[in-house]
Amino acid sequence: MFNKLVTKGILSALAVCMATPLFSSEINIYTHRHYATDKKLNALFTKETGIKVKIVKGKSSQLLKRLEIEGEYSPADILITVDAGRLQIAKTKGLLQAISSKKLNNNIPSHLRDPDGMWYALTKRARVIVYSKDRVNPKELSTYEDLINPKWEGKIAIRSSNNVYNQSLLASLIAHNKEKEATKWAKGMVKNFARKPKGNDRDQAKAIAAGIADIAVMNTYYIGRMANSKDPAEQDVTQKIGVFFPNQKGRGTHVNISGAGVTKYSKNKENAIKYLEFLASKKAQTIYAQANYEYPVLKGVESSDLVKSWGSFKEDSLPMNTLGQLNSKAVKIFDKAGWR
Amino acid sequence: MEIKKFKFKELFSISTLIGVLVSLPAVIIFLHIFMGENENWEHIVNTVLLRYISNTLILIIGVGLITAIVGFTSAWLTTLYKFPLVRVLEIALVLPLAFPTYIIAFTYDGMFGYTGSITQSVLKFFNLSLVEVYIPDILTIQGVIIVMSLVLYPYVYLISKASLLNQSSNALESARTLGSGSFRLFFKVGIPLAWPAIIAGTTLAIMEAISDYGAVNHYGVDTFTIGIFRTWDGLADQAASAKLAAMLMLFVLVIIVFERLLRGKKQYNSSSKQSRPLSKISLKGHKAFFAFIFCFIPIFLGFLLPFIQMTIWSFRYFTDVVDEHFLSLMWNSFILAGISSIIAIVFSLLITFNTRKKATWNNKTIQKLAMLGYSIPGAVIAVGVLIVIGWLDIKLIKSLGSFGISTGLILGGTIVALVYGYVVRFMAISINSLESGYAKIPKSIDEAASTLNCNNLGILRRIHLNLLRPSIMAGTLIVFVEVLKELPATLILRPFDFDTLAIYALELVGQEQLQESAIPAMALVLIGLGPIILLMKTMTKSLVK
Repeated sequence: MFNKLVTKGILSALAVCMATPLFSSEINIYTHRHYATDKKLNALFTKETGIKVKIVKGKSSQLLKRLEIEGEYSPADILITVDAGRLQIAKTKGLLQAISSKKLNNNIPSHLRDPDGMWYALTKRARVIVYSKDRVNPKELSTYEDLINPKWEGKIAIRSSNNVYNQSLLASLIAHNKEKEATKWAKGMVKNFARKPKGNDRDQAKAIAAGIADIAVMNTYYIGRMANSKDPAEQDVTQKIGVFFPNQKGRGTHVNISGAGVTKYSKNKENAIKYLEFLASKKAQTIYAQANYEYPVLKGVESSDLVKSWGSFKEDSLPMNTLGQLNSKAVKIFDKAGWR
Repeated sequence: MEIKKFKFKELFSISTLIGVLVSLPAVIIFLHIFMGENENWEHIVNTVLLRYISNTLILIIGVGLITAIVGFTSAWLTTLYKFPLVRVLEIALVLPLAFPTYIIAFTYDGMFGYTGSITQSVLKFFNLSLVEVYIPDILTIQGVIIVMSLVLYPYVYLISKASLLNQSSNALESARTLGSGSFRLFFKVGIPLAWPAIIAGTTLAIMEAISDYGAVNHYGVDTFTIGIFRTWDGLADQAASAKLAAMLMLFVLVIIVFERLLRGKKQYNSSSKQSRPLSKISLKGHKAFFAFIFCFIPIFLGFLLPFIQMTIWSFRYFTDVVDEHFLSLMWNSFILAGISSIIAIVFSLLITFNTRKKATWNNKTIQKLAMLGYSIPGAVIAVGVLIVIGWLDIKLIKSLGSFGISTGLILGGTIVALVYGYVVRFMAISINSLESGYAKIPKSIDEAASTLNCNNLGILRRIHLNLLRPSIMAGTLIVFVEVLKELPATLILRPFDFDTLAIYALELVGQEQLQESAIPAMALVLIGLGPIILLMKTMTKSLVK
């Protein structure tokens, strides 16, 4: 005890403020998630377990870099990202450690976690087609592949390929259809663009409402957020668009995940596992589903009414690590196709 | 005498040490230019590199021209002439500086985009729909150039105003009494006199524009910075990404050297500096009107209009966003900006003074390298900072370990690392500002002081600090506001549970909640406003005493 005090005294004299006083009843998280829901969940976890949750939010690839440079001295216990690709990279760089937990294995389907137990999905996001209710008959829609049909020329809005959601989508097309077909798809999409890719996912829906495009590709939870926006203009937009889940007759709609892993040099491994188990629990999964319009990984959790109104759908069960492995290939195809 | 000698030496070696410390992160990244080329690099060169280069060049030319013209002309008008509300305009012209580039970019899209508030109201008013009329798309390279210039011209304005106030009463008044017309005065005397300042300000605006990510990404313009992050995130190839960053740095180095050449040719030292205030000429009639309009438009577009829009959005979301946590964000932002801007200006003063006294190749190189941190995206320079801090940490941990003390990271993830990051990133601003100030203090003054047995510290303290006051203020103020707005480096370097206003604004934008983000953005602006107004007042008064 005395030693500890002396050490602490010296340290606080050395640095203005310490990065990591290592109390056992806390966990340190590097996360790319930044939703109000997450704050709520962390508070709930602390209330239930007494374990304090400390956060650094940032972009995953940059947090990965920090983790890498800090090495064995890193204070982080958990890494959370908003796509499977980054988790896969963290794994190959040796930044994560394998954990085993019955609860996690029971609650999270196997294609949504790393086979070696290095990372686990927490929520799912479906990348869907939205269409103008006035100008498009949903019967004309079928698959992602069909979007390059000449009938959609000048009608599609989609964001830049700088975004990981598009990179994952193309990665899934590479996995299912091989590289050549995927390249053809990217080029065909560029031909059918209503405008140069710009803006975020919401902007694509707005482009439909404004009459610039007839169909768009976007993640579902943004529709949920727009429908519940305080901006009447955004609510109007959601009135004008319909949600279509592609590839229902085949492999299913493309989903990506937000997920987490325990870092290799975690000093609070037990607590870190407890935290992941909590996030995969029914209580936390319900909050994800209800408040953030994401799809829960745990079966039997009820979604919000709005999400339910889009209907249930069949999801592509491609293992998530494949998306990560094919990510850079996807980026190169985008570059060649001129999809900015 | 012994003691005095010791002090000179110490001052010089401290300056060199500071220069090295500040330039180290940039140098680490820069070394990647010599890295080997892999298949990813080949792919980049064959497919997208040309687009990155051409877009970056267009951005540089566009932003450079607009900021130089608007910034200098408004500084000229408000310094030399009297017209309605000039005292207010002269302060208000700096206000757009308080807006982060990405925030103004998003706000303009929210107003003038296809679904933007203004576009929609105009359409509704004329009872038209988008399909019937042609509305220019704002999300283009032209759009991003204009929007960026609106918040970047104050760099040129501030630095050239400081320069005009500092030097020119004699030259200007002689020219005036010799009967030069106002246009001749502007082109033949004003521009040459303020040239170093115009160039310094424009360089800063350009550097800020090319290192931006948020605005160009949203507007769909692929610049070098986009390429750096696409390679880092998408191709997961940090080496190739750093190589791109190094190329960008090389490019900026060329600009800096080129700028020095431009400055070097046009050195106008006023031989006798008198602290006599410049008497302003009153403008009447249409001349006064045009002068007013010229200064009002940038304030309106760069500040008032987005501010009004944000206020409207803020009311809608105020209760969602503001809680007790919000106050701590404001405090964090303020304190960080305060500490960092003071450290940056003190460091810059030491470095530029050192180079002035001993213009050796070493000193000049260190000074240039210390400016590189501003030219590449904050997230990239932050990696350099992480590497330096990480190395220091391991040294510290090991040496403490030898005393039997075991610790975690000591500097990494602390405020110290964060402030270091800011200083590395924004030194260019304070150095540039001081340099253009120094350009106007003739060396003969230093020499005279030396013969009067005044030592270096004395020269710095008693003479330079006084003569440089406007430049010091301009430098400190801009760094202060820059730190307030800084995002990418803050994100990576910050301690646990530590947020700033800029981060909060980004988070809301990241959730695609543009309108909510107006609230932290407004708070940023309000914090920046106080110091801006205070400093502008002292700056404009400094010669009227």
